[in-house]
Amino acid sequence: MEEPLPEEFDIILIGTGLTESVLSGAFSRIGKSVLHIDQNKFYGGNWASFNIKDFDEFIASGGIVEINRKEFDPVALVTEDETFIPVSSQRQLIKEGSLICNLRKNKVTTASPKDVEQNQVPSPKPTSDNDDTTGSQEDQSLPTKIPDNSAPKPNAETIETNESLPIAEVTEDDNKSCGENVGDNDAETKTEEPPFPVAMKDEVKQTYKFPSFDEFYDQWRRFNVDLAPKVMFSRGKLVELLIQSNVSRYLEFRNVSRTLTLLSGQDYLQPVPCSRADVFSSKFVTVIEKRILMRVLTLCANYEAHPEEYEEFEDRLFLEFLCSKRLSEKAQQFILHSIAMVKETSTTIEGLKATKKFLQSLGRYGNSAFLWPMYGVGELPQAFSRLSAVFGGTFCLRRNAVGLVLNTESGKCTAIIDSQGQKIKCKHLIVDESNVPDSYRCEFASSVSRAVYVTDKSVLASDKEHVSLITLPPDGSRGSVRVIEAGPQCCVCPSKYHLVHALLSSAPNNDNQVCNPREKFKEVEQILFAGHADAEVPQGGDAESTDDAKPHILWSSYFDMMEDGVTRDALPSNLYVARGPGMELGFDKTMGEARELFERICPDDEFLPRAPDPEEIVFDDEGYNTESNGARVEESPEDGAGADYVDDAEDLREVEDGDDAPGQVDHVTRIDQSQNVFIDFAKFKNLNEFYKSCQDDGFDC
Amino acid sequence: MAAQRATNNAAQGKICQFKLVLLGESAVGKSSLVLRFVKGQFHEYQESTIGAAFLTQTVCLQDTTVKFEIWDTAGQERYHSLAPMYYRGAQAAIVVYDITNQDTFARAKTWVRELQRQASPNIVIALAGNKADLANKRMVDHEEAAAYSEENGLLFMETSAKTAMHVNEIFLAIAEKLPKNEGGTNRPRPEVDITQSNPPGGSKGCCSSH
Amino acid sequence: MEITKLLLAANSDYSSMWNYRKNAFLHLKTLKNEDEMKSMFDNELQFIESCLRNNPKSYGCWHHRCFVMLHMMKPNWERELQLCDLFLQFDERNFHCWDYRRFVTNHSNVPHEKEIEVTNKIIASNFSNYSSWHYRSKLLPQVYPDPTDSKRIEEKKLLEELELVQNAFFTDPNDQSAWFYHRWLLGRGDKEQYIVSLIVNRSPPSVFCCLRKPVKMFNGTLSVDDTTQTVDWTSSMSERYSHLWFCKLEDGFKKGQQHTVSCEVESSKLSCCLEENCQKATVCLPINREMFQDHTSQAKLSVLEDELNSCNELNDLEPGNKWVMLTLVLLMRAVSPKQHSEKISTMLDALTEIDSQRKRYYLDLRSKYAIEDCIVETNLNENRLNISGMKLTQICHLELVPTLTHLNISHNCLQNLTVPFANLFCLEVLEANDNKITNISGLKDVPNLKSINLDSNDISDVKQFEYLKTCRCLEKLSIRSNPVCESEKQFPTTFLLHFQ
Repeated sequence: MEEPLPEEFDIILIGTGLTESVLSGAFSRIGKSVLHIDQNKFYGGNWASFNIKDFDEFIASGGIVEINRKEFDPVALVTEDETFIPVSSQRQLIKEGSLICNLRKNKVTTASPKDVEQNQVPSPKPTSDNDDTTGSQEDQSLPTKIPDNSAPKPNAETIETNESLPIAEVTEDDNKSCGENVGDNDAETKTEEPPFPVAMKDEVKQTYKFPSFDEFYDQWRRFNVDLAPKVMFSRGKLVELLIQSNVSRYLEFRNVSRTLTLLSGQDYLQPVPCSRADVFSSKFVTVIEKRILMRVLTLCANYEAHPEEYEEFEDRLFLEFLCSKRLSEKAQQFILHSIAMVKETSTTIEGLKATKKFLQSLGRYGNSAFLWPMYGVGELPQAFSRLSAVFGGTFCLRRNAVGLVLNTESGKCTAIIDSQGQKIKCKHLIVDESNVPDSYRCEFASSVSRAVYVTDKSVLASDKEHVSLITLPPDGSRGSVRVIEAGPQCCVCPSKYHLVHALLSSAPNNDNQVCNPREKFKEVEQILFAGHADAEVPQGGDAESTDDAKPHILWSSYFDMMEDGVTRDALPSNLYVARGPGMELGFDKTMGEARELFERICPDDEFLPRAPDPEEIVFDDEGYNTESNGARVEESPEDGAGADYVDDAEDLREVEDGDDAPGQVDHVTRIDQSQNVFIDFAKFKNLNEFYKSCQDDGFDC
Repeated sequence: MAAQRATNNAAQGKICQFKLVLLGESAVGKSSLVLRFVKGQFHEYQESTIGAAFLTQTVCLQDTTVKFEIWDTAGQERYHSLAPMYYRGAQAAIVVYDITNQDTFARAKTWVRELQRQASPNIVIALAGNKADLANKRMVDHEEAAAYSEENGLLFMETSAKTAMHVNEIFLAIAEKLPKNEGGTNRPRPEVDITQSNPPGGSKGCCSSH
Repeated sequence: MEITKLLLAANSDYSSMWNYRKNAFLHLKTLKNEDEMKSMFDNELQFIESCLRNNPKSYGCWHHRCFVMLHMMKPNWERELQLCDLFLQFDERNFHCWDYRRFVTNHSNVPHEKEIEVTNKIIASNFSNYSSWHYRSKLLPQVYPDPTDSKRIEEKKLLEELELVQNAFFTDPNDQSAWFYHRWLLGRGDKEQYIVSLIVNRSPPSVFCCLRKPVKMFNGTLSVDDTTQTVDWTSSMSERYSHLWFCKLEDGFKKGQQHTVSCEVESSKLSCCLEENCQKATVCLPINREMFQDHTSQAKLSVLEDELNSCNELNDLEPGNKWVMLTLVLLMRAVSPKQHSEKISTMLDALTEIDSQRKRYYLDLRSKYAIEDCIVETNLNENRLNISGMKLTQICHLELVPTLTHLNISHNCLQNLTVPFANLFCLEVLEANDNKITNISGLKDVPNLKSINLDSNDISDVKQFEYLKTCRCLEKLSIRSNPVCESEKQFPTTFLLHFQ
């Protein structure tokens, strides 16, 4: 049903993760022809954000997508001097995924456990319409099948629900319930997880304060749950790139407005005084501590200018350096874990660098060092993809490559064969880690354990909604944990909820101390939360404990995301593998990688030059006015800053008279030639050709 | 220049800016409609959408100036790969179909459904039956589309980007229907404009400034 | 109207255009009905707002806005407050907007507590903001007044405020606004006015009254033997602020009779008894320490001591910070000048080095302290004061010692004598030798001055001596070793003659 794709591109990208999307935008921007495909029905790959239903589905599938693949023999498409390299199995990047929803089905809470289980049988589908998922609106012919309930689900090993799981209902036009299966899981949960009993007492009060399962899932669309939550350093590479390229137009941001931490020996979170204003208002440090803290921070912000202050510690630990500055233990922890965010074993120089980076970002946009993209990190790849599309990039979801075609002689990749059996030529191929041909794969290098929670309130009450970055310093056996909490104002969850992401890195072969990610987060949960919603349902009078101030977990999910299993040395010279989100808190590594790949492919071109504002795009009959590199389009003659509204009534009449627009009666639309934006689309083709002619020379590198 | 603008600002009353998205099958004339509205031009052999983040055009109502930020699909709909970011936060949408093609009408309905669920709850949706100049090849009944629109609370017009029929009207109708109170939406506002350093309320950095 | 609008849109500082609009509105108000005026005023507010967006610091705009608000029938103060919030969010230091905010809150009876909350927020986001601290200092006394002084705040609140401001200057000791607020907190309001001394002459019947604070107009009530007199006070400083006031008594005193003369101003009253056979009577307030502790002494001593301690801590952490040191000096001076005199002196010395731009200020401060100490320690009954050889750079507090007959200010570092010595109307002998004096304009009109020693100074302009013409009793002037002596030609013979 779909149109066939064009047969040849300069660049093909497989996977719409952030690195690939940035590159896609960068190549289209300079006039390369770009094909960007993704096996998923959504944008972003492992960088995606999902509504809660799609998230459930994604975790259940282990991130594996069943592509609607045409039956064909790919080898038949390969000529004599070519070699076919299959990308046979999709690599499984999400492991150990599990989900728990702690909410009860109905608002009536006096039901006996049995009733509850029966209630869940005709599990209500939040919306029974089809094509629900964000990326798949167009998708009717290619329903993405969720693995059948009875079929083995190797990836989602422990899907647990205390109530019911919506995943089962996702299959389109299928109202069949999966109650029994869920019931089984439920039973397992009971035996395995005594702390979270499903059993409800008859005396459960009418004062039930949690939303019901149905209320929760009725709002499924209002969640944007990240697979790879990260924050943006206000002066980090990503922010600079967004500004420089004008991609920021597509995005909206909020400040990460507070940094919280847990001091050793304490069991409550407290705000870290990071900025001058924080230090001033902090009630947790004495005035003397304030002074020393400010002095050290001021020094770090410009440490290169004062070598005498740190020279003797250059080869020693950052912690020792901090110690030498008369900082209190508390203040040392603040700087080490929450400001520099380095390890206890980091050197002074590492620590100073990291602190400086933090401080440079601080205050650029308000009293904060970080930004958070509204609607989640998944917006970022979409924004760069849009840039690519705006500059002519071709996008096709639900399609991947079944294999690559190498020129036997040169060893270069000359084409891909896509899942529709089409052979598409390319000069360069960029793939994400899940689309690497089997022959270039190796063991995973590392993995990141993540947990996502939906809670009923913030981890630390405040008079306004915050985006919080919470750093839990390592304590005993527990490694350092990073937590990001965002609320409804970030459009990541409906009102009255909060979304909490927690992540910790785990070594590749950790001699299986704890391998179940859910287990790993137990301690964190004890610190941050009052427990699961169900567990808290008052059984006696002790609900008024201090824990009551902490949020309850209404829904949670745990998974490991695998990292880098590619032997890069063996790759064909024009095949590039983009790394996944990784453990990094920010985006600098990813942006660095994108730029590096771009410069390898197009060393003489500008990386994401500024895209023109709509006000700047002026087309007249003489042609498209551009600067030689097409980087910037000449500003409109009258006022480039964009005076977009109507000047006065006289102009209006003129347009009305002269225009052929019929039937203007009450109101007048003004079409102001000089101030508004228009593009002669017919001519634009020439522009692209113009770009091409400019760039072709330096292209094949 | 600045003076004049300021004057108009005061004289015109308030200015409201709205994001408007176009949706619909490839080749139903989405870009042509915008081009007709924004520039008053029409090209018979319109290239696929390329080149601008979005376009802007202003409509004057009696006491308000409505500035549309018009987002085109940038061709991402072609292989059914439109990013949801596209209609994120849109306050208005024009869903376009081609009156000479029944399939595009079916697709339009899917889009309407999608918007009703996915977009902000008070989004103003208009349905445009484009290519009304080709009435002799009509495959979609005016009545059918009108009835459907009525049912779903949509604005409806048959338009022709070629003859300019109802092009301005449909935008005007949307402008009138949009709520004008303070930006018109109750969705959370972004806090930060990253192109502007040290925004309102910004306390200065850590150490350096006073 | 439209033309002015265009002009103002282009340049909102064009005040005569605003005035033109103002007059137009006043005129229109007589012609149009209420509804029409309302819509015109509403439009005007919108217009001003658009101007302010272009130029948020335009006097004319804010002023005109006040005008419009005052002439509207039903002004919407709530909205104006929001406008202020908006502009302050944009620039928290826009003092025009702060002024306007005060205007709005005054007219709309916004509770002061609420406004204090606003300053809390703004200070929390950035405390380097003199305007918000200042606003606070205006609001707090109204909400938490000190029972004894309406311009001060009660002790409990004072302690809270001290803690707040301490947080600020510990966070950033270089922030001036916090230090200024700190000084306001510890200071007391205006010095009280009181009469320092009263001198009564039997013949010609007259009274001199010396005040603590100089005033431009003096209307103290004078009574003789409990009968209020109608008197005309004049000062020697025509048109200027003066400590010393003089009046003649119409009725005069009866010969050989005792009289009680009293003078009253504000809450201060001083009485002087003219004995039967005396020509003259003088009464002076006893001089004590308290008179000089004008910055800080009103707050309780323990508070001051606490402040002193934390500033000492801060000084240890942040050695060489001028704000900390200066505050320390002021605090030490307030707590115990004697105990800390040495440290005060070293610290002032250090300050002249560290903050050399304000060297002069610190030297003057030290001179002031030295003079105060000397005045307190000298027995003034002999009407002699010796403040020589103290490296003084300025002379002050002369108003406290109006009865001096002998004043020795020699061997100091004085560069000029510009303070009015006329207050010392009993002064007979002034020793000012061995200084660096170039200007002696303060020696005008010293009625009883007989002898001046100006040897070894820097007077080079012969015209300086013109001032001395007004000292009618002058008999002896010594000006050896001055540049002016080197060129005798400069001395007009007529001038010299006068002194023979």
